[in-house]
Amino acid sequence: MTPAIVTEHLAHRYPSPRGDVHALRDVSLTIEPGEFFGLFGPNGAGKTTLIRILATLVIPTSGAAQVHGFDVLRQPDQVRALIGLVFSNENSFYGRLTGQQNLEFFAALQNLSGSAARRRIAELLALFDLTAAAHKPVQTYSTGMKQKLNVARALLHDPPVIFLDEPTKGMDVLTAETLRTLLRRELVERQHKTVLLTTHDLQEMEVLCDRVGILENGGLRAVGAPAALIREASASVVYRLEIVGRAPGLAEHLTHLPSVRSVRVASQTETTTVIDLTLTDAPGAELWSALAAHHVTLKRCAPKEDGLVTLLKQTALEDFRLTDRKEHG
Amino acid sequence: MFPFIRESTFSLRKLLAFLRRGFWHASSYRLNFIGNYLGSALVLLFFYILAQFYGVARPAALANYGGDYFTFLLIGGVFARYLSLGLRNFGRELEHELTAGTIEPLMVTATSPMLALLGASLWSLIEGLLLLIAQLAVGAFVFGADFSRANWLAAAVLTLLTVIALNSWGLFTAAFVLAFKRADPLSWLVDVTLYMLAGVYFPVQILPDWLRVIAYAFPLSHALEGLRFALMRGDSLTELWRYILILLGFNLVLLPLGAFALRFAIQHVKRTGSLGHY
Repeated sequence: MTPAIVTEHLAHRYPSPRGDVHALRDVSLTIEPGEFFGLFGPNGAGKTTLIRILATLVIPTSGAAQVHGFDVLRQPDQVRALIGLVFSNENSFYGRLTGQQNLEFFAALQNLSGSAARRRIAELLALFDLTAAAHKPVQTYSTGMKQKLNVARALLHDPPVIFLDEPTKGMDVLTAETLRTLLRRELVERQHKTVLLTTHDLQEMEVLCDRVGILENGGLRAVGAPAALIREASASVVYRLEIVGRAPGLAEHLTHLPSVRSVRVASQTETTTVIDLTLTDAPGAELWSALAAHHVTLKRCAPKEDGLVTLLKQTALEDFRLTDRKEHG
Repeated sequence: MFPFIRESTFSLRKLLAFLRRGFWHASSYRLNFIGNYLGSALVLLFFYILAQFYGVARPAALANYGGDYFTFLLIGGVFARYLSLGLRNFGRELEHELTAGTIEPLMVTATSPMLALLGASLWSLIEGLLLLIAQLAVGAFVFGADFSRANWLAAAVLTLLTVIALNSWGLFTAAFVLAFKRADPLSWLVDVTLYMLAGVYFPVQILPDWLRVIAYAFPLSHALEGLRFALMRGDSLTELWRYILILLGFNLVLLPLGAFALRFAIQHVKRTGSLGHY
């Protein structure tokens, strides 16, 4: 079966007076039909650029990309017929036109004829609970309503591939949750669409995605099922040790312990040394023995952060939601 | 269905969708919508009063046109207003799409990028044409403009050729807006040449020689002259061959260059990722 999305060594540089900005570096990825794939990363990681290249809105500097076998550079018309794009900017409508009028206009641009278009619009408005607001100007809609209309617009021509660029951005918790449920139920479980989602939201990633790709500085750092990635990350716990005095040679010794993944001397003065240790498990006998061998006095030893945050730090992910951290912690 | 017919039907539906959207949008600003029509009627009154200033005396420069000054003014004023739409419309509508954030949603539809970018201007062009016809009718029936000898077919051909020529220039403006996110910096020049040099209020022949050379570098000067000959003297297409040939020449040069400029701008913004920027 032809993969839904393939990227091969995809790279993109944005020209800038202060030197080119590398938005994507050598991204190779395959997404199968019916898969809900998440792209996770901080602002500027390259998530939106990747989606824009696949949606034919950006021409990559090098590499190739296909959607259902059609090349985004050589066959953009065929690609556009197969995709629906939900923009992160909810203000992408004609504000003075009603929701119905906006959808009618975009339906015509997607080659939908009169009666078929009307039927499809009514169906989508009902699905996204917008029927009552259909004849009100979009500028009077709330952020959540606009985002629902955004998804409805992307689904007008029933494309097999949907790109969701931060679809819950700016939404309150409840509205975001409703939209997530709707996206999972409708797009994946009922309509079996291939979805590529970009998000900063850990919960969104875990609830919606079959697989997740973690982007950092334009490069794909890891790909896997969200549960597996979280499990792996959870296996690393950062502990902060506060020791009396300078403790020469201790940090070097700790790096050789089997349960220690990394050692970082956070600060060192004549009176106190602070060391951050990334451990695969809770501190145990080998750590206490090492401390004893250096004759140090331990002032404090406490977990600094949980596994998910470690994952985020490891991949330089800065924009995550604290609420999600608590839920997963 | 044959692919060509199918594609043509889709394209026609898309044009109609742009037209309908333009109407919905324009009519949502009710006061503006009404004001536009009211303003067009007031312009006719202004022309009438200006023509009255000359009284029945026909200036010598008008002799060649075989009509009165009001008819001369009416043709110059309403056609210049309509035809100049082509110069600015694409750029102006593109600016609206950019500020509304609708450029990218348009560009990911199953519509050619050219149509997606330029379709928004269709409403203004059609509305302008209706307004032009209404102004000519009011000018004739209310203010007494003399179209008794008019050759409407010749006028329609000249109008079409000029619309294409000026819209081709408009493609440069659209390309400029897309690439630099600002309106064409030469638009002031267009305004000056349009109303001073193109013969809207007076015949180009009365300009000094050096200015006349500049005036004839613009398609509108030829268009207005030809239109006046068609509508005031009733010149046939054969008699107007020179104007038709000149306008065709402008089209042959401006249309491919304008299309190339816009395609280049589209590629540029897609490479720099600035399609949706404003």
